Amino acid sequence: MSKEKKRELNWYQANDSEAMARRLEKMAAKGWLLESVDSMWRTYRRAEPSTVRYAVTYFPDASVFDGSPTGGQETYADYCAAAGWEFVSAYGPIQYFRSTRPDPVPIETDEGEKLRSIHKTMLKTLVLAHCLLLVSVGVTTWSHTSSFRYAPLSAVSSNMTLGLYLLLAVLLVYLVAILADYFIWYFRSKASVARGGACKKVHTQARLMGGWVLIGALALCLAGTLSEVLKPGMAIVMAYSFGMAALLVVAIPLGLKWLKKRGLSRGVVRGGYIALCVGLGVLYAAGAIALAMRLASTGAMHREPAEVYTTSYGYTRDLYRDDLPVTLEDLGFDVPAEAHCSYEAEVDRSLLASFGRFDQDALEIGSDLPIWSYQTAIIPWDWLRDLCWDALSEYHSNTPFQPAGPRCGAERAMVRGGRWQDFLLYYGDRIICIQAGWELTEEQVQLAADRLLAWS
Amino acid sequence: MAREKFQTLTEQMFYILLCLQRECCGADVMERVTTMTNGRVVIGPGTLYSLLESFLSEGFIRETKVEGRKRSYLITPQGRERLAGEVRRLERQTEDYRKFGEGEFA
Repeated sequence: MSKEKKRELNWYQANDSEAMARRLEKMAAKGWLLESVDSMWRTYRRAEPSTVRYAVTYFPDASVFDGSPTGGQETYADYCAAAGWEFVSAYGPIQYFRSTRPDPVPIETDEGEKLRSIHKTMLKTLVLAHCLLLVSVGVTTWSHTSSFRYAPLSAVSSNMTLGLYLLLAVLLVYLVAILADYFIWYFRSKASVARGGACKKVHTQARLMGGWVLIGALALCLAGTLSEVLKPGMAIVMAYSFGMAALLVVAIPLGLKWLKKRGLSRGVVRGGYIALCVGLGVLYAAGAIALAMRLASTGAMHREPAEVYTTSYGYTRDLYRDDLPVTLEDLGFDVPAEAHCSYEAEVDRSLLASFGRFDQDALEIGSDLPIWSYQTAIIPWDWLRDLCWDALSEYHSNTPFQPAGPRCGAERAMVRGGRWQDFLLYYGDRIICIQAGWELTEEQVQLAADRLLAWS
Repeated sequence: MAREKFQTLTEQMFYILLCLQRECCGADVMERVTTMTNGRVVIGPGTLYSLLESFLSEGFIRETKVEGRKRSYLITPQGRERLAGEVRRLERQTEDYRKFGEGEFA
């Protein structure tokens, strides 16, 4: 942007016409005259510092999908011109006027009519947009809550997931607060107007603070995401996600601008806009699915194995030789070399938890060695540990967990039988999960628990 | 909603209807009302637009002429009736004031 122009984020609540007008007047006094507005930005052009009066008004019948001002808008602007107000710009139903007269007649001289126009406009813009966003964020939150119930320890040990939870929570509160704030303002203003008073003041400062909290949450979410960029395959996933997000942010407004310039009717522009959004959404989803399939087929989401083993049936399997806290050998099993056991350990650490996953797996098909898999998560926060415990002990597909009585000095213990035997053990700072393909003896459980209690 | 809104006319509604007893284009209504009331009643352009639209949809005024972007309006019999009703209401208020309040407030 050249020095002759300046852009500014539009942070004001859409119904705070007074604060917006005062800001524009301040900018004019500093030598910046408003040139245009869009959904997020105001653009100014340099001019001589001057005393200019601004008014922000609402024309509910206009839409962001109009390519040019409607007949009604032109008539409205003519009336304003007759009263000394020059039309500057509009974004949908929100219109900006200025006057160089020292004391022009206000555009709105009836508070009741003003409130009606604002409310009709807000229902179509702020309320509709925030409700749609609320539904979308609500569905995303619900889906992540389900994921948490399924794998709570993975969730709390990932900074990326924690950042996302934080962002969703802040976003939900922010959206509800914006809607509540607007309706409180509307009903208080309505009561005030009914008593012969004026519309109430809008809490733009509170909205600004909310905006900063939201930006803070977004920054933390991004930081959490970037902290996992070194994990296998994550760089590609992030590059795709950020690239597509940037494409959507640029392509959607540009697409709308292009459609509006075609001289099409409001309905056609709206239809084209929705088709563009849906099309880009489908493109994003299709790309994500294709990428996931590609990463899965190439094994890019897994770290480099110590060896790639080809089974006697010709399948290739990744073989790891990590140190495990407790192995089948420690538990008394005879592990022959021809079983080609893989010893895999994966550790994730977040701000709230450390999580270790350990698997010993015989890669050769037909081996008699049983499944041996266990996890431990160190979670210093009691409330979070309890939350994870509840999710782990309540989630089941077929066989529910049952209390296992006092086991291995654990504060709580749960067990379930079936094809595998699963144990859940709760200690003062950690949760231990064990899955074994045989019925564990008391000594074996004790040995595994002791080794995992020493893990950090 | 609109019926409820026009149960009692505000000063601005009253003078717009009064002004439109003679055909007049929207933009001229503001000036004419200011002249009629010696500047006591001022109608802003946004308020004027909203009220003209409401009067039109309520049938109190009708569009008589459209010349480019300039539109002219005239009051309808229904609008006259509403205006007369408002005058009767104000007269009754004045009578009541004379009857009961003048002594106290004189």
